[in-house]
Amino acid sequence: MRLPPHLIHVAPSVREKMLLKHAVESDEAEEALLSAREVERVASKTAGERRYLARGQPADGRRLNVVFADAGGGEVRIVTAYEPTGRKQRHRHRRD
Amino acid sequence: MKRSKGLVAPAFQSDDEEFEFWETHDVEDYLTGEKVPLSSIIGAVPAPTSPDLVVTLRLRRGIEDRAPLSRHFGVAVPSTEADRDLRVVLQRELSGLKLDHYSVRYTSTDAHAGASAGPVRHLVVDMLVGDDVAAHEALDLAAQIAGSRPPARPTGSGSAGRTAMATRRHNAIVAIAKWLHDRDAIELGEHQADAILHP
Repeated sequence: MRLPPHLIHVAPSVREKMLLKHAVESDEAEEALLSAREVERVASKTAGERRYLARGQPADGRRLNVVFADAGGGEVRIVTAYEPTGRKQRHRHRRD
Repeated sequence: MKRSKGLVAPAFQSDDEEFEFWETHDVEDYLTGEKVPLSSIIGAVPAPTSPDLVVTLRLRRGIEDRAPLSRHFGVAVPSTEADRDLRVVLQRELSGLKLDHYSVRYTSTDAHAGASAGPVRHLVVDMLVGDDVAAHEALDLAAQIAGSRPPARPTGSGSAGRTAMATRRHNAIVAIAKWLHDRDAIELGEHQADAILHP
């Protein structure tokens, strides 16, 4: 699925932190997000924007967890993306 | 298999704050179990090419609330209403609902969508709601009825115990959303609305 880039937003500070802390480029996070067919709701008190977790894979094959906010109108904002750590989390990725 | 602990993430004030939160908390503990197709969220709503009306529904959690929650809808106004004051048209839909004096107000301003396009009207509907939960529910309800999103699971605070005024406000949200639905409104993201109103 290829979408206009303006539908997926990543704040500059988040873009920088994802790269520094998780070695995840924003392009990879977007690819991972778009590779997920289903996403799961994350319970959050933040009003107006629901949160979801996408388990996906960018083109390089890495498995990534992507937490994102539904900004409405078909737009989303990536909150963070990282490689799942630990045997259980990796197993959940394979199962999904 | 690890089960979610049913935790609820706090309300975040910024992207940075939320990023740091997920650095130290396992998102698996916060999952609700509700799974939805990604296609129902992202890119599900095509951007309108030339809406001539943007309706912003803003919900305040009190008269002094300076940061109302809002959603935007793009509307191609039918030719039969092109020359009419849409505040009056919408007001007619809401008449008889006995809303309190401060619960709804309208403003309408003209923007310009570029040299080749005509003016874009901006209709802002302000409404008071009881609290954060009511605001969230109302926005979801409006988006569902307007037809731009699939129905979402109720968030838990139903109609039981609603006050008379809360019921009137609920009915007003329904009326506004139906008004939008009848005009084939589509929900706009914050950035889309801003781009249309401030090209």
